[in-house]
Amino acid sequence: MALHPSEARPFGKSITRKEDPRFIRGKGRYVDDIVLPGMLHMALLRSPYAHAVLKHIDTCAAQGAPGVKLVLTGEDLAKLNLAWMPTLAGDNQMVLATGKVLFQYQEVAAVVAQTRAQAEDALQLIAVEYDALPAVVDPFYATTPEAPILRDDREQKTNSIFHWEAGDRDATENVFADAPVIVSQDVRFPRVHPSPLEPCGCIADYNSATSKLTWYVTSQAPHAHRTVLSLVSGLPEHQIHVISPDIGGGFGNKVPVYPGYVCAIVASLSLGVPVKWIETRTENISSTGFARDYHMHVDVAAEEDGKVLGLRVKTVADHGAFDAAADPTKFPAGLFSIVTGSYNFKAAFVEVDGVYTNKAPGGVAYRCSFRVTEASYLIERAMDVLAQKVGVDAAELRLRNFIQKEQFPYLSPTGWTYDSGDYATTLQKALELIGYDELRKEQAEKRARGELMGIGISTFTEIVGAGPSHTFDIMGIKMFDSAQIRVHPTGKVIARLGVRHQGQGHETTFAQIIAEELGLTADDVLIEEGDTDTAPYGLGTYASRSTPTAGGAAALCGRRVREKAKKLAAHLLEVGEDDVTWDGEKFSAAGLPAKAVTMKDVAFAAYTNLPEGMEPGLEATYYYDPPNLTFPNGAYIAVVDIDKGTGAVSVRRFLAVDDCGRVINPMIVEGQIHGGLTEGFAIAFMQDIPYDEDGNCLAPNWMDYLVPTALDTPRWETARTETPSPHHPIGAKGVGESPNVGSPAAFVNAVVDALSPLGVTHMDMPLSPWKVWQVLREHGVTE
Amino acid sequence: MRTYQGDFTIQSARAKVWAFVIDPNQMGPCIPDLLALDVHSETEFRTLVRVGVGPIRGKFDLTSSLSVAENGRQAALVIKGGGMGSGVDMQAEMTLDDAETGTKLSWQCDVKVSGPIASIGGRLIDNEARKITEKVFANLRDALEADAAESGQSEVASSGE
Amino acid sequence: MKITVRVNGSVCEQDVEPRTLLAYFLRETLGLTGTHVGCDTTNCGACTVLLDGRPVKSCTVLAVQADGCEVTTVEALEQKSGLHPLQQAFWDEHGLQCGYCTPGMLMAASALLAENPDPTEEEIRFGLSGNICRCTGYVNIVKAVQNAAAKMRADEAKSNEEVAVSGATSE
Ligand code: FES
Ligand code: FES
Repeated sequence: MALHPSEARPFGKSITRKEDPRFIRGKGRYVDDIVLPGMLHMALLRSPYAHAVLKHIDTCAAQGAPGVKLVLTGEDLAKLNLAWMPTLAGDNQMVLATGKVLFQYQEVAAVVAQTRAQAEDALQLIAVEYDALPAVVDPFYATTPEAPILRDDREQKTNSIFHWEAGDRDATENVFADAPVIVSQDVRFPRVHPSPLEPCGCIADYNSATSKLTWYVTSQAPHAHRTVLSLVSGLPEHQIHVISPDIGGGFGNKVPVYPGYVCAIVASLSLGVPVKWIETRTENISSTGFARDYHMHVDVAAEEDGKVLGLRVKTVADHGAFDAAADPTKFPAGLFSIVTGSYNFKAAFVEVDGVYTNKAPGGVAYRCSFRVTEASYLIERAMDVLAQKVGVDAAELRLRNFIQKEQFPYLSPTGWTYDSGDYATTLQKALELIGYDELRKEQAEKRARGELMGIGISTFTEIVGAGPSHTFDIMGIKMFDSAQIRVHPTGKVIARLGVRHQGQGHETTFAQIIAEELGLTADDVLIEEGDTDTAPYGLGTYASRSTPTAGGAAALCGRRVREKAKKLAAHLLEVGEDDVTWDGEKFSAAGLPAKAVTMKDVAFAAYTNLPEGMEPGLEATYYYDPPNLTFPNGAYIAVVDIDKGTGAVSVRRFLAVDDCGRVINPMIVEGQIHGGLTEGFAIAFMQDIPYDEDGNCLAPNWMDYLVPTALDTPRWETARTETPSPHHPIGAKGVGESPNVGSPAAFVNAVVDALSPLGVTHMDMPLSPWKVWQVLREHGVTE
Repeated sequence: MRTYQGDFTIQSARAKVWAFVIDPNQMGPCIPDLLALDVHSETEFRTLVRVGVGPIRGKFDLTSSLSVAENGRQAALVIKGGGMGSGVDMQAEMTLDDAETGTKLSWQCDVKVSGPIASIGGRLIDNEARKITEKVFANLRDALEADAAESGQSEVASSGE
Repeated sequence: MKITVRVNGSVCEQDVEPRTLLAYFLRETLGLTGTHVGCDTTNCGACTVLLDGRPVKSCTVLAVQADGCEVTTVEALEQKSGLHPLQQAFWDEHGLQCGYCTPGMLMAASALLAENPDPTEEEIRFGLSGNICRCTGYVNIVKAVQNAAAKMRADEAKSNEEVAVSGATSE
């Protein structure tokens, strides 16, 4: 059981979470819990068509409906120059449609009324005349000359968004030219959706007396959202107060700015009262940031013994109707070029083509650092395809190809400098813990009896913590992060950070980091995030960047406070500053350990008893620009049994051995891993958002887009190795997403391994019983 | 898009059948669960119908326009509209041919559904749409044969895509 | 329509639109925002409350159906004597992350333990399978329910003993 937050020296200890008392009492404050005086409610009318000309909208009946205060259409917004808004990826997106609709469930009109029900009733009264156009659903068709151009607003008359390359084409071609073995595979990463339990929503509250807009919003990046809003609306940035209250999960879904937000703000600006908009689950899945949807092709060049030489990857990325991904500016395909993974490739070349289709916009990270999941899945799948081809055990093949411990810092063929790792040790640990040799023996026996059992390995490397500001920005804003610490006279601390947690436990872990630096307990430190009026500027929480960036800022900020505290301590101890030592809990005079003062003593002195000439107070701000990214990694092993009659896969065991550097709170890290594995499991076996040929979204709710329950979810086993990040102030690497990045490949590799005696070399996710059953039937295993 | 088709024979002369199918006032009532029929002209009419697909129930407001491809033989009906945030586009084609015992009516109907009805009711739509189209033509036949002595043999085949 | 519902022990008489869902009645009319709404297809269980002691998804119950009934929400779990053992166990075992599913989980779990004070892991997973958590992966939720169950059984045994003891002395 975890320790209490009153524990001294809390860093590295499992202490219970400081945020929990309000949640277990039902006293969390999520955006829909907030009620403001005079508040109105907004609902959105959405397009039934995936692609259609918007001929006419008649809102008369809706305007006169009971309780209705305002109806907005694209034409109304166009008058304010707000019919379109910029996306974080530098594209434009329609707020409310004008001229054309480009995806099913696209926002067409907004109704503001006294109650939610009245607003929804009035939607039914809006008459829209559409002229359906043929929908572009297949991203490969999208770039053929026959395909209609979807975005006629753009100068470039093409459905291609970008072409992006990394690595060295010629060097890679040369390696392939002489390679004794080449394997190739088409691999699809389906369109999935982060689907946090709380949908997105906001309350816009414009006060015409103060000209200040207060905006409560489910935002993983409140500061960035404020800047975007200021740029779009022309409202001065300091007159916009963004409050991101408690957030019911984000997983990347709450990074973009959505049309509903803009409509609520416009409505509040024009009505002068607060306007609340809370989307439904259907709206959440059908219109907000989806993830993945990558169609990948991989070629691996290798020696006969399976030693890898070169890697070639070509990908078509389906971004939907608008490029609303949230990748750093210079990286339209995110960090996908981490695709060489944990392996020592001589050369690699990666191409990604982003295209428009008549589907919902997005391409956000779903618990992953900018396309790392796609990359990791691809290389881990490809390594198994290679292992199968050259007849080498999947674990052995990996051990033969790992980047060795001594090679760090390691420069990858696509240009990344990996900070640290010990891949072989991590995999060995996993193999031992799960009893790999025994399992292979059992598998051989089962195979002899015709039973289908599989073992799947994934030894992934992540890349997180964007990021060094020389390389990473979003809309030009550098991706640093920040912390501000104020120590009050009684030694109690309020610390504010530029990130925003959505369940990751920042109120506890950051308190632990700061308490450790200041010799306090986590109880002494109150963490505040998500309020742009008070918190220092930061880029937000996603892509596992909080610990690598804001965690670094918190530690360094704590050290900055300690520097001043040391001066005060010298004054109190009546010795020179050089004679003061810090042991983690108190300052003492060198050689006189009995003569000591605590941070509390020092804090009091900072306001009451200062040395001559010293500025009063004890506080600091730190903007931390990490020198590099961090590279968490791990070895995951899945063991599955397949029912030959139904095709159902049961995950008998799953072991995750993670190396995420130094760990601040093991309990919280383990919780993050459990959650990430569960999402990885969902992706591998259940999740996909298909569209029919007319562009109808076929899984817009939790009846069709599946999320696992306690009954579906395997029992997770976890373990850790620890290779600290050499450049991070506390050696941490970040972990929230590793399990989601690393696990899909382990599951799929296990299923393919089980089916390999039938000659199966690959299957695309999700591995539903139906899909597996079809394969079994094809091979005559079942009727 | 889904396509449905079928044919059947009506114990009635071709001219009589033709007169029926190109008359909105006679054709309109053949639509099942019809709540209102509003004939604008000889070729244009509007209907309000009740539909239910799985969990979604409500009214569809449909505008139909009739055109003659070959007088006395072939006509087309374009139906467009929707409701409950969903849209329907249908294109039906009817061909009349003389048969031994009366008139053979062959029909084909392309149905395109969009919106929540398509995404939520997706797997139920096929049956529902088939049922509705088949019912339209069954009603038509019944109406025409109401005063005929015996009903002709009929056969309705359909295929969904 | 006028309804009378006993919510967390106090009687509420309210005029509601017949179509008002119990979840919104609790959240918006009574301000009990601990009950959450996470979906529109009765899949997630974030809205779970007890209706006359039985767990229901309040997004799929009309407020008028609760007329004359007793409704218990997460706000009523904590007693003067302290947190409910389930609340304490969720906290101790890290059974929550974003906290959005937590009220529904707690209510579903309390109904489960009322019916089965000593459930197996499988029974807990089955009992909570109407409730979705997107964050925790359920491992610690299951652990928390097991711990709370043990604590509640121990408390029960203790109070039975006390009753027996006080019974014995009074005789
Ligand atoms: S809100 Fe999801 S089941 Fe009630
Ligand atoms: S804790 Fe976030 S959904 Fe369960």
